[in-house]
Amino acid sequence: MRRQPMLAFGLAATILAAIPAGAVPQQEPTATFRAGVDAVAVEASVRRGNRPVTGLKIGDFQLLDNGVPQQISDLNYERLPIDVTVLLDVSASVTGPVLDQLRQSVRQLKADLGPRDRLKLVAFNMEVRRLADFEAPAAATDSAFASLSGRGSSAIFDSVAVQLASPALEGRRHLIVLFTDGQDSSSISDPDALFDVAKRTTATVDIVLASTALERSSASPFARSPGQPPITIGRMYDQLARETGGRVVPTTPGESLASTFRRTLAEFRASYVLYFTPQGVDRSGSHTIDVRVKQDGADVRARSGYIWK
Amino acid sequence: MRPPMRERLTPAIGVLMLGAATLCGAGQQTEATQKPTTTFRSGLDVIAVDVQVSDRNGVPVSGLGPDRFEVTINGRRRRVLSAELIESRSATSLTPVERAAAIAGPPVRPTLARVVFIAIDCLSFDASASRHVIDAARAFIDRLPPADEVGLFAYPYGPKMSPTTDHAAVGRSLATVLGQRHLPSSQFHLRPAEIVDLSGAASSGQARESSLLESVVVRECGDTPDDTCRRGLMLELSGAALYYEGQGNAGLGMLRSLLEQLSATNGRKTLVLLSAGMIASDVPGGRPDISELGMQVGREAARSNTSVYTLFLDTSTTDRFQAQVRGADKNLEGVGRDSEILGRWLDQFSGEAGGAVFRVQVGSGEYAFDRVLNEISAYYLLGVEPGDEDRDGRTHEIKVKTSQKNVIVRGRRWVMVPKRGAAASENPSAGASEPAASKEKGSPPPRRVVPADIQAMADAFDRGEPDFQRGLADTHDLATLLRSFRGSDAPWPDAPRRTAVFALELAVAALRSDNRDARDEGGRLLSEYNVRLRRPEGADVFECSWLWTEVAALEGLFMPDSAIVLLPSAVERCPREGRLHLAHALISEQQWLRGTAGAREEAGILDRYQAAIKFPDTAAEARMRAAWFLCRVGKLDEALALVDVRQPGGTDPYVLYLTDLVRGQILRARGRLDEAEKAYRDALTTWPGAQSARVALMTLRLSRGDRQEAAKLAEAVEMAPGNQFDPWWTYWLGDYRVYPAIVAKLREIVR
Repeated sequence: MRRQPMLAFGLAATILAAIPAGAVPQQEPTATFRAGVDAVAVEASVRRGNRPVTGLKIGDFQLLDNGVPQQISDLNYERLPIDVTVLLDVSASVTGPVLDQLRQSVRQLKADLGPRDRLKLVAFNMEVRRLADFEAPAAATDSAFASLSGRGSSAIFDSVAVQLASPALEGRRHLIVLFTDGQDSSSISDPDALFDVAKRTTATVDIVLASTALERSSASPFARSPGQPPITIGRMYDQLARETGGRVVPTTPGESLASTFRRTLAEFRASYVLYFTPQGVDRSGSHTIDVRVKQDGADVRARSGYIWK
Repeated sequence: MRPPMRERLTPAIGVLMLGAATLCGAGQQTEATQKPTTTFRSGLDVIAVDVQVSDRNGVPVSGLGPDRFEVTINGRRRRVLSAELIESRSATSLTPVERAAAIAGPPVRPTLARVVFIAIDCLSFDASASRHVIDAARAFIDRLPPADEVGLFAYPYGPKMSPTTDHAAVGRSLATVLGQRHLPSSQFHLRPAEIVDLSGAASSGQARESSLLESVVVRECGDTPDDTCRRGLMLELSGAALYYEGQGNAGLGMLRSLLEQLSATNGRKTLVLLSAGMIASDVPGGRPDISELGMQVGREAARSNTSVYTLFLDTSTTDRFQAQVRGADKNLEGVGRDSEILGRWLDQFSGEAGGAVFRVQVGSGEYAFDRVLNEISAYYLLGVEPGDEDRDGRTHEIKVKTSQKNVIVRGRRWVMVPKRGAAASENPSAGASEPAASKEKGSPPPRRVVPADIQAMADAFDRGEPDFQRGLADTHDLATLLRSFRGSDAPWPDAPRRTAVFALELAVAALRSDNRDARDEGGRLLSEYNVRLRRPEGADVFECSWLWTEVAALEGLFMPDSAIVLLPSAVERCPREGRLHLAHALISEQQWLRGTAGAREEAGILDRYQAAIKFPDTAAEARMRAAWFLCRVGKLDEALALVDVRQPGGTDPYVLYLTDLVRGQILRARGRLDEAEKAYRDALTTWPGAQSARVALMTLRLSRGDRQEAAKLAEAVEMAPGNQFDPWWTYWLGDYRVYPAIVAKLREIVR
């Protein structure tokens, strides 16, 4: 967990710091939550032990919307291109060696992308900064690290919300890989606001928690939902992962971040995209989703719900 | 009448008036002083060592020749060439028996005028408890022979008089001395021994397992204590430790200054210190930690050739009784330990100085004053031949014994023998009183010789910015630097305010450090200067500005547990400073955020915000902060009432922006989404491009189904220019946003 004095003074120092300009985005902002007019897309990762379960057909899945079984109209596996947003917490707690590791990890991740896949690099402390857009050349991504140093406080919730709300292109899957030590200290968004954004958008958020993260610590002493007690780091990111179909990946000291990032991408790539048009339920408002597979010993991970417009 | 001592004597850095020159009577004494002019053989290098020998009742023992004394320097025996009894009492103060005894021995000088300093540790007394002691001190002065010079040093604030034979004037000044004991704000009733034992255990992380802690928790919080009460107790423990460290360091630092001034005066001096003691740990690593400052100051006394008599007015029993009245403690168990803790530093100080401590538990200490009067009425002046290895200009340990049985020997414990042919250098320090603030203007004030590391920082401070900040940044061991500063005297003896600003900046630099030791030292230094700045007549503009600057730094450092120890006193000192009231509320809220204050503290936080709302310059910000606090505890209607309408006439865009942002959040939580949206847009009008307002609007638009605007706002956030500032980022830092400006203003005041 970051120490508060550093947080505060680092923050003050960062106020004066310049932010490098990023590339200008090209795509139109269009929501990709629903495929077509009425269809809903759900990403589902199916694994048996540590291995992905491949070759599943529509009939192998069972999908419930608010408890009502739904007809899956289409299934997509490893065919859609992927947009990866790497969202790096570079607040005061991130030191030089960690930055070096992150540089290596992003370089490796970029190398692992398929020909149609893209990567965007965003860093944040209290300020969200785009370092390299999807279209930027590999060298730009690498050199973006030169301008980074760990300082300031961290607006984790705001940064994730901005990425979730960012323009997305139809026909592409979106993975956000968040690297953080977990404690927010300057977001205006409270946990409930972020969860609401997560339910209304489609990207999957995988949270790579730094080894210094303390699960039982408060995820934010400051940004608490009205009338609610502070939420712990463990609960906060578990719920964020659940809402988006992602996962929390704790790291251990000395563990290679590069291989962690690689595994994250590989698992995302090996997940299924299911499409359905809600039937038998009131379309408005909040929906819960339950995805199951008719195979023994297979674990399914998918987003826990969505909010219809 | 003779001129004041500091004007008539040539000061010398050498601790001792030494060597053939002095012993051959080459000093500058006037006839009236009748200072001892010894008659040792000329041409022989001899040092003068004064020593008091008295019986168990304090009556001087006479008739001892040089053969009855044994003197060692650094453990090596040195030859005693002569022993002369210097008798100094007036004829009326001698009993017939004493007179007969005194004249029976070797040569005795009749009637030697003495220099007696009365020092009063005002921090240890409260206003009422000090009266009877002061009266006894006045009676003591009245009994001194008219030729004796008497000085007065009431610290930290009180009358200070250079030695004078005008005893009546000293008596009148004494009558104005007031106890200045100030207890930290307290929710619990902790005894001295509990503060020491539990804060020491807390520092080492063992407090939770402590059975003592459990018994105190049950006593203070009840049989089924909640976590909040327990946390509050631990917080008060650490706060009290910090507070008493500051008080101890301030008091001892001032006493050290007095002794340094005394060291510049030739001849034997007597210091009578009146103190009710201080809470200081008696275990290694414990808190409150004044380290070895008591001993260090005692050594200073020994070097300054001062006989030290300490009257410890032990109030531990009466204090306990007061605690009983408040319903805390129901017995007198452990009073002895409390007394030991309170008097420990006095024992250390007096022991190191070779002096005596008299514990006064009842009455006003007349018997102790009698004893002092007796003991100082005569002393032996020994002529001692040092060894060649002693003549190095350094300080050596000296011990004097006598073969006489059943006597008490008091004398210096340290001696400095100059190198052969070395001349005494001038001591730039003189004077006990502080000059008016106006003297601090213009060119840098006179400097005192201080340790090299402090000297370098003081030089940088005199040169101004950026040298000073660079110097701080280049200092690798801030803890040592701060210890060095606290252990020495201020670089600018005539400019205490300059020193206070210097101390503030050193402390803040240390508090910013990653090093825990440095942060601890920074806390102690701040706490010390909170005491040093406190004048009994009330706070002036400088003190209030200093306190605000200090608090602003602590807000920014997010150190509420340290700040809350200092804030109640700061608010009390400067009740018209709205910024301090506002800071008090924010610091309390910071504590609440940390979970060190419970739900029952919520009302207290709001009361403090309400106090700040009463001041025009803080009203708008206080309303906004109170509203945000209420929102987070779920009291939305009360919150909205504070910021529902955009206040006309506000000019500070920082506050305007935050108020709109906060109003938007409250309205959104209340479900009034159109108004919330308008508030966010108002915020963006006041502070275009601010990230937090954009994000708030973005998430709101998304929740209302407007993905397009949400996406545009997300894009705008990511692509904001690098110099785009958002006031929200400094919301929790309070006035730290103006710290650079206000500390610069403070510097300007003292330059």
